[in-house]
Amino acid sequence: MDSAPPLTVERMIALAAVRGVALDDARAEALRPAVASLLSRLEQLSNSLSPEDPISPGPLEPRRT
Amino acid sequence: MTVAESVAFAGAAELERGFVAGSLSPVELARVHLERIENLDPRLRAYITPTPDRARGDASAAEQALASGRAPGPLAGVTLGLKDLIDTAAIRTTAGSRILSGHVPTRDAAVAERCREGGLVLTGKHNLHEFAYGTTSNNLHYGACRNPWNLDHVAGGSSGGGAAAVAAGLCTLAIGTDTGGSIRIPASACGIVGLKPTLGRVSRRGVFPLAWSLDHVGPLARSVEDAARLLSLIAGHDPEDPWSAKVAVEDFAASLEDGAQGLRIGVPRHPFFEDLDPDVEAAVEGALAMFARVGASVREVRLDHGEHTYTAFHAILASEAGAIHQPWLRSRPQDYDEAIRQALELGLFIAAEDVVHARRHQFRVRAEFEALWNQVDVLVTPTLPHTALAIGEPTSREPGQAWNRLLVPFNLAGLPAISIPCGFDRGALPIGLQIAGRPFDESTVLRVARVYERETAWHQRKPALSGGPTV
Repeated sequence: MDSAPPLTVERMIALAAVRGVALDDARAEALRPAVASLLSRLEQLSNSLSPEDPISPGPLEPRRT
Repeated sequence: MTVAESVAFAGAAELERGFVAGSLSPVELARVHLERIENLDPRLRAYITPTPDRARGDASAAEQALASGRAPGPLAGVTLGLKDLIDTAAIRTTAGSRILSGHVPTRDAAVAERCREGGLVLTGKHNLHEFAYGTTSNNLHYGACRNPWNLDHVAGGSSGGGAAAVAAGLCTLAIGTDTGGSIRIPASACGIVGLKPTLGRVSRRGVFPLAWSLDHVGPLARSVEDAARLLSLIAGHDPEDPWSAKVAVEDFAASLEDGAQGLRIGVPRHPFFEDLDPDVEAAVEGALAMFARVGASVREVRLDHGEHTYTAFHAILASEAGAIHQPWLRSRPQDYDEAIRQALELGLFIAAEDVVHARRHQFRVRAEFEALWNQVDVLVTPTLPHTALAIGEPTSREPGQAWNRLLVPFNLAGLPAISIPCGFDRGALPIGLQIAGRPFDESTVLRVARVYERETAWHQRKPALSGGPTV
């Protein structure tokens, strides 16, 4: 399976621009460690899931003791 | 303790008795608290907007209602503060931000409305972490809210102002919000009681959101009974909040004194008891021993999916908060505290499939808790792995280091969870004990909390408001 492209400053600026948010080199560089850490942890999370793990917890309901 | 101090720190039940007997009046209570706000809050910074005129008016109205035997409820005349992201008609509601510094709502939030209709006396709007997006309440725009036990330390956040004000006797009760621990963190850090009810138990209509699917509104108080009484007032279905649950509201104070017999307490050592400050660990182990001594069954339980829980929480939080703030990130980015801006910008890089995976993990966490309720009635853990940080000390959102890491599983699962005072560390800062329970079973959570409170005296200590800057 192909892995995600590296998280470069240029890519971060382009991704932010898609959302209409201006990010310069310095801001992207400052953000990069936190973003990289979260994306890496999210990849581990996705690898821990099986296709049987569903989405949407649904509403909570009272549970009798 | 002076008479004024004993009034300032009195509980709601004691105040009600005083009001009914005529030994104390709501106007006198409001005067005492307004005077303490004027004298102490320049150092504490618990309030963004005190509302003395409103408080005097509310107190007079409550006094007249009590005198005519038509008190609107048991909390009539008791003083309260609201976190400053809860809309109050004609009173500025900033969300702790520069962006909303001029925002004056035209309508009360549902929870503010219930408090007003219940005859509570509004002392003001409490300080918070900007837009509730942080754990310290170091607010760049309105001043860092300080911890009454040591003014050089943070009050915790994001509902820091409410917790500091209640702990310091500047009001009797407060309302906070909790997306990833924001009621329980400051409650623990300031040595008071903070309850995050079940998701859907209290309406969020008129409360500025941090993350729609994780936000909870709940009480801050100096005793378990006061928290229960305030929850009874603010809980209930609201058709204007689509997340509000159609579940009957009970008198949450009714079973407080039912004791420990028959209670089954679960202790999820992994991951809740890992990397704790030794003083916190000792205090919580002492609490577990106490529960066993008074007749509860205490047993260890396992939670296997904890490893990814903080990550799932972070992805959902950052994506929802990012969606809420995207227009301002485009048009007014310079108006945020830099740390808040960075936390919000992080949401730009979370892909849709990441949120899907986070939601799938959320379901897994909820199912794991659901299975535990066959074995135990509540879970008991530390609230925070360590006591309040010094102001300026950095915080982390990495799973292993985050201050709120023991709290977010209960936001993700939407379960009720309370923090109560459980001791003090070597630096004389408060330690909190967390008790979590089944969906909509706040009564059992409160009952267990009261068992501990009745056996200990931590909640009776008063902070000295020492240290910090001179004003």
